[in-house]
Parts: sequence; C-alpha cells; structure tokens
Amino acid sequence: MAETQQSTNLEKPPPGVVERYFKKHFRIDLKGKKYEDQVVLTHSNRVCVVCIAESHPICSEKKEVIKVDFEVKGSNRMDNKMSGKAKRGAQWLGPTAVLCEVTCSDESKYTLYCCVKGQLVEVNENLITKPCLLTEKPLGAGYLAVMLPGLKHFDKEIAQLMCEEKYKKALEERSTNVS
Amino acid sequence: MAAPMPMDICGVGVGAGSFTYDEQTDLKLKEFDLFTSSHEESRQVALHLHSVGCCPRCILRLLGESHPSSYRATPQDLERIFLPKEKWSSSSDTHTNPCSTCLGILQQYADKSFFKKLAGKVKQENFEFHDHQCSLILPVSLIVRQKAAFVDLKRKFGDIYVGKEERISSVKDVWKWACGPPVADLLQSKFQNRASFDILMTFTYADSDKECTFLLDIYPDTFYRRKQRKFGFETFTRANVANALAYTDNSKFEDCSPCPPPLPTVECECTVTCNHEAVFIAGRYQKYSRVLSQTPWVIDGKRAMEGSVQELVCDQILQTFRPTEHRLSSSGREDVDVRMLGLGRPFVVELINPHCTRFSVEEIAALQKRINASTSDVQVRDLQTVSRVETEKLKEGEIDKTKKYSAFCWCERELTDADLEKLSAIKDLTLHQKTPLRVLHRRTAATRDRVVHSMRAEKLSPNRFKLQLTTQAGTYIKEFVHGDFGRTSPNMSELLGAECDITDLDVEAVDVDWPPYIDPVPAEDSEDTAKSQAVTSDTVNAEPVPDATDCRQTQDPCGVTATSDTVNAAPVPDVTDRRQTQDPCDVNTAPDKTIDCDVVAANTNSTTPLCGSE
Repeated sequence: MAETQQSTNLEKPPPGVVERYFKKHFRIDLKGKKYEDQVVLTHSNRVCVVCIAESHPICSEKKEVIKVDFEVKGSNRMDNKMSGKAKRGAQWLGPTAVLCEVTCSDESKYTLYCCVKGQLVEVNENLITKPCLLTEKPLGAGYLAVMLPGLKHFDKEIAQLMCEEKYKKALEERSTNVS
Repeated sequence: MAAPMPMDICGVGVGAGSFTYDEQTDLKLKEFDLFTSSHEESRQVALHLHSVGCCPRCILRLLGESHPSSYRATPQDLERIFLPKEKWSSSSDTHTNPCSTCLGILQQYADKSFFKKLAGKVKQENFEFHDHQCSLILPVSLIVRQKAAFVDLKRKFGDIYVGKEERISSVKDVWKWACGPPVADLLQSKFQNRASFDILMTFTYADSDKECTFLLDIYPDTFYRRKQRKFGFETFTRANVANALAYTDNSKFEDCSPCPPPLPTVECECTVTCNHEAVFIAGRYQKYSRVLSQTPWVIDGKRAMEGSVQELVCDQILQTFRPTEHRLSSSGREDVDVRMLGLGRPFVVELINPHCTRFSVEEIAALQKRINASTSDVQVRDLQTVSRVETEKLKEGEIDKTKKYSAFCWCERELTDADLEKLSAIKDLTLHQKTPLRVLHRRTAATRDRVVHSMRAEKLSPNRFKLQLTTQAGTYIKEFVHGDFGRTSPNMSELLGAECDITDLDVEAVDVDWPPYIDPVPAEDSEDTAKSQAVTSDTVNAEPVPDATDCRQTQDPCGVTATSDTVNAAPVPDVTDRRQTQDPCDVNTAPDKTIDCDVVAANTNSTTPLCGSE
C-alpha cells in the first residue's frame, strides 16, 4: 500500500475486496517454466478471477509491460460472444489453454494460461490500452480474465490448484535453493 | 336396449292407454317452457327418456326447460309430473342406476345427503367466507353421452328437436340451479356466479376414456397419446372431444357410438376441494440488521443464516390469513449486510388460498403492530390489503425510480476538502457497470449504464468518509465504491485517484410511491418535502423536533402523504416514531442494536434514542 502519511494519522485499512470475498489458489512454474506463477481468485459462487502471481518474473523483476495480446494461435480470446445467464456460446477452455501473451519493454515475452477448466466469461480488455495495470494492480484492476467452471466440476477443478499455504512454502523453498 | 316403445300412449286422464297419469300435474306441466307443443308429446318423450335410463332432472333438461327455478322441483315431483304412476320409483329402488346422461351428477350428487357431505367437507376446511361459487369438472364422456341422447331423441322425435341441440341446458348449469340454493342455506353463505371463494367438485368416471375411444378411429390425427406432462398425458380433453363431436354428423356418430347412451356400469366419484382467491397485502419494511437475508438462505438443506426478512414480515401475516402458500416480492432487494432505513422498501405478500380474508383497517393495523412487536430487526409500516392489479405498480417502479444510499467508505489516503467538494459537485454521472463478479454466476454478463444523480461526501475520520448517493435503481453501489477489479468505471478509486473500499451500506430511500402511505411520513429537510401533500390530520399537534438524537415522534404538518380518508379511517398508533431520523450523523454508531422493540408495543410516547450521540 502506498501510504505516505504520518503513521499516527493512519488507520488500519479494512480487509480488502480480495480478502473479503475470494480465496487464492495457485499454479506455479507453469509449463515447467521457472517461477512463472499465476493465481486464481475463487469466489464462493464459483466465479474465478485469473491473475498473475506476484512471484511471476514480470512482477518480481518489476518489468514494464508494453503489450498484452489476447490473440493466440489464430483464435482471439476477446472474440467471445455469449448470451443469457448460462453464458451460452462462451469458449470452454482447459487449464493449460493459452490466455494471452505479454511483451515487456526488455523484449521478453511471457505466455499466461487459463489455469482452470471452464467457460471464459471475460478477458480484461483494459490491459490492451493500459498494459501497466498488470504490474500495478495484479490482484485488482490488472486481472487477466474471468473463468466460470461448470457447477459440478468446480470443487474438482479447484482441488487441482495449489492452496495459499503450499504456495508460500514453495516460495520459501525457492529462496533457500537460491541462497 | 329398453322395451319397445308403446306408440299409443296418450297421457291425459286416468287410465288413458295402458298408463295412468296423475291429472293434477297437468297444471304444473303447463308452467314449464319445453320444446314440445303438447302435454301428450312431453309425456311421450319423457317416457322414452325414462326407458333409456334418464333421471327426472335430465328428462326435464332434455325436454328443453331452461328456467333455473323449474329445477327447484324434487326428482320425485318431476317423476309425478312426467311419468305414469306405473313408473314412479318407490323409495326402495331410488338410485339403483346412475342416469345415462348425467352419470348420477343430477341424482345422488344433487340430493340432500350429498349436500350434507359437501357442507361438512367445506366446513372441515375451515375457511372464512361470506359468499361462494361452485365449480364442477365433469367427466369428458358426458359430452359423448349428451350427444348420444340428443341423436336418439332427434331420430325418434325429429321435428321437436330440429335445431335444438344448443338449447339444451347443461348438466353443470342444472346442478347449480338445483343445488345452489340448498347448499347455500347449509353453508349460510351467498351463492354467486363469481365469488372469491370457490368450491370445486371434480367428478371422475372410470369408463370416461373407454367411452371416447371410438374417436381415435374417426380422428386419429386429433387424438394421439400426448407425451407432454403439461397435458397430464390425457388423450381426451373436454375441448378436443367437444370440438370433434361438433364436426361429426349425427349419422356418422350413430354408427360409431351407441344411441341412446348405454346405462353406466360404474358410478362417478366426486372429490371436493376449496380454494380462496389470492389476497395481496402490501406495506414497507425497514431492516435494521446487517446479518439478515431477505429470503431464507439455505445451502444444501442447511440454514446459512437464522431468520430472514421474509419470515419476520410474513409469520404474523400467515397466522392471520392462514394461506396454504405465500410469496413475498419487493421493489428490489438489499444484500444481507445492508440495512434498509428511511420509510422502508415497498413489498407485497401474495397469500395463496387464504382461509381468512376479511379484516378491517383496524385489524390490519393491529397485525402490523404484532409484526413490529415480534422483532427489532425488521419493522413494517403502511400495511394494507391491495388488489392484484395494484401490485403491478410495485414492479413498475423497479427500473425507473431512484434510490438513496449512505455508504461508509475507506480511502487509502486522507481525504482533503477539495476531494469532498469534487465529489459533491458531481451530477448525473453515468457508470458503466459490468455484471458484478458476486452475481456473475446467475446473471447475464453485460455492461450496463447506470446513473449516479448526486453525491455528498462527509469526512468521518482521516481515512473514512460517509458518502450519500442518489442513484438510478439497479446501480450496484458496493461495486461503484471498490471498483470490482476495475469492472465498474468510473468508480470511487478512479474519482479520488486512490484505493477505496466500502465497509457498510444503508439504503435510505426507495422512491416508489406505492403503496399509499398510511402511517405518518416524517418531514425531511430536503426537497422531497415538496412532493408530499399536506393533509390536515389530528396528529399535527407538536412542533418539529430539531434534535437529531431524539426519536422522531411528532409529525410535521406537511409530512403526511395519505388520502385523508385512510388517515381518518385508520387511526393507527404511530409505529413509525422509532424510525431512524434523517440526520446524517446518526448511522455510524452501533447500527444494529439501537432499536428497542418493546417500546413500540408498550408505549408510543417513548423517546428512545435511536441514533447514537454524536
């Protein structure tokens, strides 16, 4: 939090939206690429918000994102028309399906994935005009996409992700390995 | 088949032909208005109908009588009028055979012992009613039998029956003419053609389908096994059988179905059910709890939360009206953790099949008092019965009306006076709201434009402020403040250029002018007062109390919007005096336990402080 005021004048912030309504689940070292971690915020209504984890090199190395591209392998993730409460027509994607490609100012490129199997309900189109949101507010306005796993598959899908506790342990192991 | 018809019968006088008629009945016979042109003809037809198994009422019916009062005569009387002494039934052999054209519905289901059973059954259901209607659902094959009887009559007495088919009174009407008055006497209720209380008699006849099967051969396309549950898998319905028979000419019909109709081998069964038209009760509710859902919240059969607005509002209503089912609808809804203050949210409870329905204005006022005494989490005002048509106004107001909120917000940096001014200057700001994540699973994904008409921010502490908003109905306030991952735009974070969040939310007003106000409406220090009509009322007896911490018990003269007759008719003890006052500084202290419920019931003069001291 960027609080620069006098500490006496500051109040403890209330738990934020993510803490109040969501649980965090992770996938680490996606596709075997080191430290390429993503986080899925799951709501009790099974809505999943797919984000980039703060341990991902884009964030941890404080890279400057210059482009987020949802056009992958000929199919555009933004080309996703659906109708009705049931979101008929939405793309059904698997956990390893490519969501978008991110280009940084140092010319490095990263691929981000869906992480859960479900309907792609929405991609964050704001990232196209403001790619910097991805690193500024990775668990907020810089989210990548909203996925909706099937009603019956939700628990099963989430069980395949890593819980926050294990994720933190994995991060600790990484730092000990490095040192 | 019956014995061959003696063709020489001629009825007048004792001992004429082979039958003897009671002479005295000639006079009575004259009173009827029949298709036939002479007593002899009438008696000839009657004798024929008797021979094919018609009951006395059906004889009268098929002779063309259509005056309701004629059917007050008992079957025994009718027998004596139309039939020779030799055919009069003795008391021992009555009801041996159900009538071939009414299947007994105008016989055993139209006599005193059935009336007693019927009245007993209705009384057992324990409805309160002052008038009633009777409905009959008759076996489908009755239509076939009626047709068969007519075809037979036309064959035998051609001239008399030409063009008369439509003019024969129906079994249903005759039942009502014959049985309506005696049943009404037993029930001590007025029998009406249309009434809100309905006594439904469903007659079922085991052979009904069997007697219709010949239609399958003639019209295989019309009659097929229905696969949809909607039709109850019925092949033969009243509509399609009546329709098919209308297209069938008499000779064709004669070939396929026996004329006259055969004597029934089984009896009709009758089930009686009672139903009262739905009653609607409307009002406004206030909700003072942040842990109370609007409807019972059940997950996998387990209660997620005790109680609900619905239960608190409806329990007493249900005990009073005793319906079999009920539905609460309201002009929008608030979240579990949102309070509903101000004058409350308009609602309607639909009471399906209520057992008690007649209540005076005073009794409804007493009901409201009972509701309000039963809980402190929810309070109800303006409770009244309304018509079904009026209830539509509830939903009409849902989209185009405005709502007022108080949102308690947090900002990551301290707010400046410039911030407050900036927010207050905003007018008619259009938001683009993507369907919030918290409802995305059950609502269509879309971006909706909603307007924030005005805002006023008030600093409560360095990082906290209270935001008062007037918005278009359907605006998601929580998402407007925290932004919902930037999915609502503009949002407070964008407006202030710093992270914002919402901690508490209150609905202050739902601007729907329905239902009519009954309880006094306290004056507001805003432009809304102008909308209210001044009403001279005996409650105007004290000057407005300016003190915000005081419970608003007095009414400002111009605050009452109500038609004067409702005010006069319903001297409702003021329940609203415990309302939260409109002062902006009241809400942020101990929101949930500020209302002392006992005070309402016991003492309306109490000045329990509702609002915290600021």
